[in-house]
Amino acid sequence: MRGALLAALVLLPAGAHAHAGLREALARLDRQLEAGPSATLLLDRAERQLQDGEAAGALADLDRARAAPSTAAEQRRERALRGLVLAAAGRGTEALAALEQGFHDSPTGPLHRARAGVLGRLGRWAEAAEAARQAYALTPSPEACLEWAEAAERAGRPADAEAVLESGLRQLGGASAVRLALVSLERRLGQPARALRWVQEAEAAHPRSPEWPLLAAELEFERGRKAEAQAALARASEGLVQRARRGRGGGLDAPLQERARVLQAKLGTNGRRSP
Amino acid sequence: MRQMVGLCAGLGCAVAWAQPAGLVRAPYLQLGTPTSVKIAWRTAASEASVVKYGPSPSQLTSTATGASGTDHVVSLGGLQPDTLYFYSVGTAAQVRAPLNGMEADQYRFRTSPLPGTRRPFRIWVVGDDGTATTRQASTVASMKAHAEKPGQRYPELFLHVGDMAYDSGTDAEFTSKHFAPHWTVLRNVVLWPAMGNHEGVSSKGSTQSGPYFSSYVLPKAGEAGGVPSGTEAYYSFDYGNVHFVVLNSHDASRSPTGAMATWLKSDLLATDAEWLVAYFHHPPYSDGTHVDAETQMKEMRQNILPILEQGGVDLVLAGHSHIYERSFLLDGVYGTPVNPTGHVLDTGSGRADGGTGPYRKPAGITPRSGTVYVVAGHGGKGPGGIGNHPVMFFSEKVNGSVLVDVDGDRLELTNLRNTGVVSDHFTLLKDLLPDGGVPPPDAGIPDAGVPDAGEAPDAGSEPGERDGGTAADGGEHPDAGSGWADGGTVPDAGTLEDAVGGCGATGGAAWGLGLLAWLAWPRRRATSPRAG
Repeated sequence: MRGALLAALVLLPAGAHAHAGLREALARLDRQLEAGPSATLLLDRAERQLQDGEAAGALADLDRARAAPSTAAEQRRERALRGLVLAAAGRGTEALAALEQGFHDSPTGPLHRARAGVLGRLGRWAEAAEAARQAYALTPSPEACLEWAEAAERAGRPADAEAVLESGLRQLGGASAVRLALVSLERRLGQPARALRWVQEAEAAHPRSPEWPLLAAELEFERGRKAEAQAALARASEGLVQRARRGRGGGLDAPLQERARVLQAKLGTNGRRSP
Repeated sequence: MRQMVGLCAGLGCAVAWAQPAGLVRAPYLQLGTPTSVKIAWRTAASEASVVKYGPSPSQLTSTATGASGTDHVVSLGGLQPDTLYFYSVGTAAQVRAPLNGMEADQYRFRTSPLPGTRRPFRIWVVGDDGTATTRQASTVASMKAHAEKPGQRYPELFLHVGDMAYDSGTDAEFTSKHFAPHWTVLRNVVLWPAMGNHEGVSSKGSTQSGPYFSSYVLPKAGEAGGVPSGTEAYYSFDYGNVHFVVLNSHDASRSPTGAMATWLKSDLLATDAEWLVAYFHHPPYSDGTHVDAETQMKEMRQNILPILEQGGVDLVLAGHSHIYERSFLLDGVYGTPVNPTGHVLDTGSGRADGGTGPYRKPAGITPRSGTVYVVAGHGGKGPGGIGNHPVMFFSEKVNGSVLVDVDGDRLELTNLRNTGVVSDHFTLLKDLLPDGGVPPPDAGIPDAGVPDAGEAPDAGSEPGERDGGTAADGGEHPDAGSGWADGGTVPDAGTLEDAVGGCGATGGAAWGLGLLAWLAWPRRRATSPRAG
C-alpha cells in the first residue's frame, strides 16, 4: 500500500498516448467545432484531451468554454473539469481552488480522488485522507480504499487506516489487494495477532493457495508462538511440495519457497536455543 | 423474428438487427457458475422483472424475480451444475421473450460444470467487433454456421477481448453495436468481457462507472471461482478444468505492485485448474493496426506478463489491433523492442495434423513452460497493419473470430474467417512428463479433428497477407531450438529442497516431501522434442 498513493491517487492519464478511440473522438470533435463551436463541444474536447494527457490543450478549451454562452450545467462541468486538468498539470494550489468549486456544484468520486492526490502531493495528508474518504464513499474500489488508508496512515492515524482497510475488505468482498495491505499494516503496527485473523480467513476461503498458511506461519513466529508457526509452516510446505510435484514449483511459488526456507531456518535456530 | 437488415451490400456497411418486439436489449446471460446465472434484459418502459425457468420450454416451473425498472437483472440460484435450463423473461402478466412462444427452445442456458470437470467444451473469442456492420454480422454468422457442421459444437463461453461498442462505448452504441448483433448468442451463452479503449471513452475502470459497467454483472468477490478482486474492472472465473483471468489493460494500474497485479498473484497462486487462460484488450505483441510500443501494450508485456508466465499461463488472448496473429510457444519475451531470441520454446506450427505436431507442455499449470499469444482484434473493424511480428507464427488481415476447444489435457485454437474458412489452428497438449520428457511412444498423439484444416492457410486471399506457410518455417527464426536452454531463469532444483526440507521442527515429513519434490522438479532440457 505504502507509496502507491502518490502514483495512483490522482485520476490522471499516465502521459500522452492517444489511443484509437480518443484519436477518433478528438478528430470528430475538431470537425464539429469547426462547423459550429459550442460550450458543450469544447467541454467534450477538453475532457478527451485530459484523458489524453494534454493538459494545456484542455485548459485552452476550458477557457474558450468559459467565455462562450453556456448553461448552468455547462458552467458546473467546466469548473469540475478545470480542477481535474489543473491537478493533472501539477498546479496544486489552483487545482484545489477549482476542485473546491467543483464540490459545491456536484461532488463526484473522481473530483475527490483528484483533490486527495493534490493534497497528498502537498503533504497535507489529513485533508487528503478526508478527500479520499469521500472518494471511496462515492466510488468504492480496491484502489480507492488503498489510497484512503495510505493517506490516513501518512496523516499519523494508523488506527483509522486499519479501520478503512477492514471495512473495505468487507465491502469489497474480500479483495485480496486490500487484505494484503491490511496484513502489512497490522505488521507495521506490531499487531501480528490481528493480522493473523485476516490471513486465516483467506486460508479458509482459498485452501489451495500456499500464500496464506505461509503468511500465517510468519505471523505466528512474530507473535513468538513457535509451535503454531511450525504447524502453519508445515501446511504451507505441504502445499508447496504438492504443487511442485504437479510441476508448479518455481514461478510464483519461488519467493514463497524462499520465505519458507528463511522461516524454517529461524525456527530451527530458535528451537535449538530454546530450553 | 430475427431480422438483419443490410443497408448496403459491401463489407463494412451498416447493419441493423431487429430484436424481440418490446425489448431494447434481448435477454443476455451473465456471471454463470455451476449453481447460478444472472439473466439481464432492457425494456423501454419500467416494469417488473420476472424469469420463469425449468427443464424444458413447456416446463418453466420455477420463478425468480428482480427489481422493477428498465434494466432488468434476475439472479437464478440453486441450479444443478452442468445442466440445461430453458427460460422466459417478462413480467408476471406478460412474457417478453420468447414472444408468443416463438423460438421457445432457443431461450436456454447450461450451467457451468463444477471446477475441475474434464469434459470437452468450446469457447468463442471475439474482439473489436462492435461496429454494426456486415463485417461484424459475417463474423457472427460464420461462427454459427461453423458450429452447425458435423463434428462441431456450439460455444459454451463467449469471451470478448474489448472494443465491443464503437466509437465511444456509449449506452446507445452498446445497445445497437453489441447487444443487438449478438443477441442470438447472448441468450444462450454467458459473456465474459474485458474492457477496451473504446469503451474507456465513456466508462471508467477506476470508478466502475459508465455504460460498460452498467451493462454487465461481473464477479468481484470470487463468485465464479478465483480470488476476490473487489472490482468488476478485473476478475477471474472457473469453467470446468480451466481458470480464466480477465484483466483491465486500459485504465487500471499496470504497475507490478498495483492493486491489479497484487490480486493477480494471489489469484494465480490459489487456482488448481489444469489450464490457465488470460485475456485483456491490449496485446503484448502485435504488428497490426497497433504496434506493441504503445504504453498499455508495453506495460502489459513488461509488468504483467512476467506474473502470468510465472503463474503458468497457457494462452493469452487480446484484441485492439485489427488483425489475427498467433505466436509460437513463448516464454520470457518482455523487453522493448520485442526480441524473441532465446525465448521461443517451440518453433513449430503447433498443428497436430501435420507439420511439426502440437505444442506440448507438462500436465497441469506449470510456470514458464510456454504460452501462446493470440491477437483476435479482427472481429468487425477493417483489418490492417503489417502482420510480420517476430513472435508470431501466423498472421492475417481478414475479419473473423477465434474458437478454443478444451478437452481434458488438450486445447485447440482455431481461427475462423468471416467467410467460414479456417485459416489457422494449433494444439496445445499437456502430456509431457514433469521433467519435460516425452511420454511413451504408444501414447500417441490424437488427430486434431479440425474438419477444414486443410483449407488453411489461404495465402494470397488478400493483398499483403502474410503467408502462414513461410512463417511456419522454423528455420527462419533466429533462435530455433534454443528456447529450452534458457534454464537459468528456472529456480535451481535445490531451492525447493532448501525451502521446505530444512531440518527443524517441521520434522521429517517436510524433509521427505522436499526430496520427493526435488525428484519431480520440472527441468527444461535442451533435449525437448520441440527444441531438439
